[in-house]
Amino acid sequence: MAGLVWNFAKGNQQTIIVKLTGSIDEDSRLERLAADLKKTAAPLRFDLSGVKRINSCGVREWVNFMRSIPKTTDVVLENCAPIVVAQINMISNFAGHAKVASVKAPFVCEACGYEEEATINVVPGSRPQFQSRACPKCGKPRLIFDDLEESYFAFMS
Amino acid sequence: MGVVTSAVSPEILFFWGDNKDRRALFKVLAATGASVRYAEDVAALDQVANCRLVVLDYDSARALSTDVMRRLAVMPLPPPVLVVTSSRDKGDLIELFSHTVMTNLVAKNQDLLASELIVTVRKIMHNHIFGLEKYLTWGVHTYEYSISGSDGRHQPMADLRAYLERLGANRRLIGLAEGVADELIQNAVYNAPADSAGKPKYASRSRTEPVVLLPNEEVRFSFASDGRFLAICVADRFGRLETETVRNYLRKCFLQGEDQIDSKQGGAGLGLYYIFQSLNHFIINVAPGVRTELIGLLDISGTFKDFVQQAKSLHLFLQRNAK
Repeated sequence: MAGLVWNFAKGNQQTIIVKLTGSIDEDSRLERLAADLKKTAAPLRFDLSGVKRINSCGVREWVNFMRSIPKTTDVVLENCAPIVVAQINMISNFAGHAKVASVKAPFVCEACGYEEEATINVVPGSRPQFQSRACPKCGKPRLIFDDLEESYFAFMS
Repeated sequence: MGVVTSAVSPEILFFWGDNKDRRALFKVLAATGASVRYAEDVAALDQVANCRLVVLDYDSARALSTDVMRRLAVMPLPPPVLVVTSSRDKGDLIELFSHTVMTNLVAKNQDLLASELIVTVRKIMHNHIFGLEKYLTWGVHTYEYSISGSDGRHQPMADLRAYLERLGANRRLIGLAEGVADELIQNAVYNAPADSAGKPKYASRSRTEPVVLLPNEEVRFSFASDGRFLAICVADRFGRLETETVRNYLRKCFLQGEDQIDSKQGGAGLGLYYIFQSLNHFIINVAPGVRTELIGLLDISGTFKDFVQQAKSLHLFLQRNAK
């Protein structure tokens, strides 16, 4: 299994950026990440673009991890991969007290099957709507949002 | 009672709202060789002896369907109840899962999937419930594995991913399939085995603690595709999964309350919910004390959007006289 790895970087205004890559599952050891983050009271930004898989045990690990972050700490989830967006919509406290700042939106070409993701900034109260556009691979104007806007962005309501 | 009927005492009683659909449904149900009768009100239940299946239209005859299920719920041995609906609404699913007599939830998308109905009715009528081949076109190759512990899931999951990539399936659909395989196998490895007293052996273990199964506890995992549907199947030799457990977990998870995630030792209690959400059709076959078989069908022919637009089916089959 790929496992889960994380890297730290410094963002603006003392913010710590934590980039997670891999699978969130029973072996993720998120308590180690929680222990590392306990040493700081800085605002946290979790970059979740690299999360590939989450299973049911991983969800519990994640929810417990989010609970371990003090409510006084500002937390932002950004570049949430589609699998993360699915959890935010299905699990009531997956995001904890974090604000979802941006998500990866999946697109697919109905003509050739080409797939890509684009980062969408979340604007409260403004659910994105997508028109079909030209596919960068086959050129046909059939690149569509590969989900239903109302369900993919349900967490905004 | 308004009647579209066969001459003999009916084995299948169906309550249906829409006229056009009713005629089509009658043909499909009758095609199984069963005797079929259409009924307009709950009183029909009292007029038919030995009914073996009740079919309900949750879209255009919802109040009647609810009344029928309530009446059946107080019967000592109610027949299986098949509910047809096009609804994808969470509230509707929560309500349907609260009906303890409902055994089969059949998704109606653009139209009724005749093959799904025929397979369902045949399985109930003939008490021959096992096998993923019933759900795929004849001639497909099935990949099979014997899994002897929690670490044994990684290779089959990798093979499944490679297979779907070769077929050119949508990336997110591949992720769903892989997730379903993971949940099904973990569920069978940790939750199915019981000792001679029927006490679960590994269910309360942390999922970080590996389990090695005894030879008689090994789990069968298989998958196959006919190009439209991918079928994923996991079977154990214990037959301990209860339909009530399935309904309760699904209902609890859809409610998204504070108890959505289990805090007890063992699994998170989300597996069945994840599996259901990741499939078009989820089939649970149980011969009590003998065998449990969980089959997931995922339409891999289109985009993720095609998948998410479809209503979902859930089938709970209990084999009679299993031992």
